[in-house]
Amino acid sequence: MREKIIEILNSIKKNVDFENAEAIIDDGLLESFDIIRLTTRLADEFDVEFTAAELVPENFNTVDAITEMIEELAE
Amino acid sequence: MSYISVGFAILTFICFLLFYFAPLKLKKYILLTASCVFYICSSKYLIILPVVNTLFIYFLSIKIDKVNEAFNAKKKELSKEERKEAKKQNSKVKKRICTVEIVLSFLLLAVFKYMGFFTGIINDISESLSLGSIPLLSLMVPLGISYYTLSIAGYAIDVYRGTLKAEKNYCKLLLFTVYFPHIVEGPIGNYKSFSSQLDKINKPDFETFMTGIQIILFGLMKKMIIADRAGIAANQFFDNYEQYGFTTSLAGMILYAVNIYFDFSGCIDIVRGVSCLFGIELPENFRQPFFSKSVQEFWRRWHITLGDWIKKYIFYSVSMSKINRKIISLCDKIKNEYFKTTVPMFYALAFVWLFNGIWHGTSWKYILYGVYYYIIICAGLIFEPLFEKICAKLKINREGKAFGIFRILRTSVLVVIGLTLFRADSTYDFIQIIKSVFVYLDPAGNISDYYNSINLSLLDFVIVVLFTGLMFFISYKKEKGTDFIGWFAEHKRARWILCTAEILVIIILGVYGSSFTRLPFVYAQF
Repeated sequence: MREKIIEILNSIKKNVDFENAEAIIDDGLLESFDIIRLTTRLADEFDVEFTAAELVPENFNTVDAITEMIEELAE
Repeated sequence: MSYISVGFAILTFICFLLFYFAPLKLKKYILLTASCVFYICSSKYLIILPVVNTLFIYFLSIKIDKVNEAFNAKKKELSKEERKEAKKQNSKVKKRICTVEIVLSFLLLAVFKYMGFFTGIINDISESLSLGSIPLLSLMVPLGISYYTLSIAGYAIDVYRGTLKAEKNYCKLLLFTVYFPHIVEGPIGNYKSFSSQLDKINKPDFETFMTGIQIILFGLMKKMIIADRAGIAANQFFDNYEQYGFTTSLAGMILYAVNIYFDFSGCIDIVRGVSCLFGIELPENFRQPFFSKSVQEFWRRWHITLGDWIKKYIFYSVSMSKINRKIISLCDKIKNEYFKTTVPMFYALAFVWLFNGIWHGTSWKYILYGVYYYIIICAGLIFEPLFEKICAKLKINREGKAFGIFRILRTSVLVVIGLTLFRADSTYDFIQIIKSVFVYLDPAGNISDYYNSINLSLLDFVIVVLFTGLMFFISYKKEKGTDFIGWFAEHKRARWILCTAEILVIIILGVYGSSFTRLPFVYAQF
């Protein structure tokens, strides 16, 4: 799952080291438009449903946080 | 009561003394009392509105928390399917309660702020159908209703989304609603940050106090030296624009941009500084907006807390709504990956800019103001791949310095045009002003008539230009990473010299006194 998430992140924004990034949102690596693009792609890929409640920086700041959020949504 | 008045200075001083010497437990109640006094001085009995609105939100948010707790206690005993069903039910109940909270808050806003506007629209329609008209209803607008409605609605939505626990102390929540430094012009509050600072509230130390004083003085300089002078000149132009040509129109438009930026950011500096005296850091509302390379970036640096609020509660909510998900699935047929994910945003952005326009005021021109930015941003998104191709073909380095400066200038031009629409008395006036700049191009432009008609001397204009230049230099250094507050905290003697110099400059060059009527803070009227 982790690899796929990194692949999607890189398709949205090239040349960013998402794997080692510790504050993807707080450092401005992704903007609000990118987050909508990302959630659309993640929802398709992992068959999960996002709500506005999930769209908080803590859920998107690291690849691990994104992975954890998708696992929780899939439950 | 204006933030630049003897009354406000006395209130802040007394509040600070009481706050400083009061026991820890009482500090927040002193702030609450001062906030209520400030509110009553400005809006008298209308204080009942934020008090009642907060009370409703307080009880209903606690109710949402209880619904959540009941679900969490039950969910461990349920199977996966049952849990899904219970989650759905739980979500429905919470949504219903939250809808009541939001509808109630915005209904109050609509009644008190927009009643005149709505009555006008109804009359226009009924008159065109020869049905006569109803009396124009216009109520006294309670202080800060546009700001506190957003703050308290944001709190209610955060509790509904589960990112915040409902507050158990009503006085604390009321203080968040009516806190006197942020009630008039914002910044729009975030309860999580406000509440955690209130919990750690303490006697302010000397460093925090001095930081507060420094920020206040900086804000006073912006307002009293630049904004008020530029405002007089800009008002003269906008009130008589039909007399002037190209050069004057351009000068008038730029002077208004200077006026509104230093007026609004000056006010925010003053209130952030005052709040700092009580150990509460209010969120930043401006981050060198005129260094933005695109309109989207401008709105991430200008009135930041409004932009954040709209992003968090409107853009994300609409983007994740059922209708938008349907649009997303329809757009799946688009082969181009970029447009497949970009087109659905146009729907959410329409709500964002419509809200932004309406929030600013009760006139069609504000709606047009929102539409103006909506068109620019959508056009930017549509043509982005084309721009990329053109730049690649012309071998333009998009990351280069020259292209960066071009983008900053382009954004500034678009923003100044937007601000002209914002300030013009009507859409018709705006079109005429823009025509005089872009169509008629009359270089003679009666600039000497304009200059002679303004109640300002040449020295006043020199002061505006010099201080705007100084502020631009400070912004440029900040943009490059200079931390002025931090530097002066380490160089105490320099800080004393700076503060003394600022006080002297304000006394000597600030506009005040009986011969001058201070222009009210522009954003206080929203």
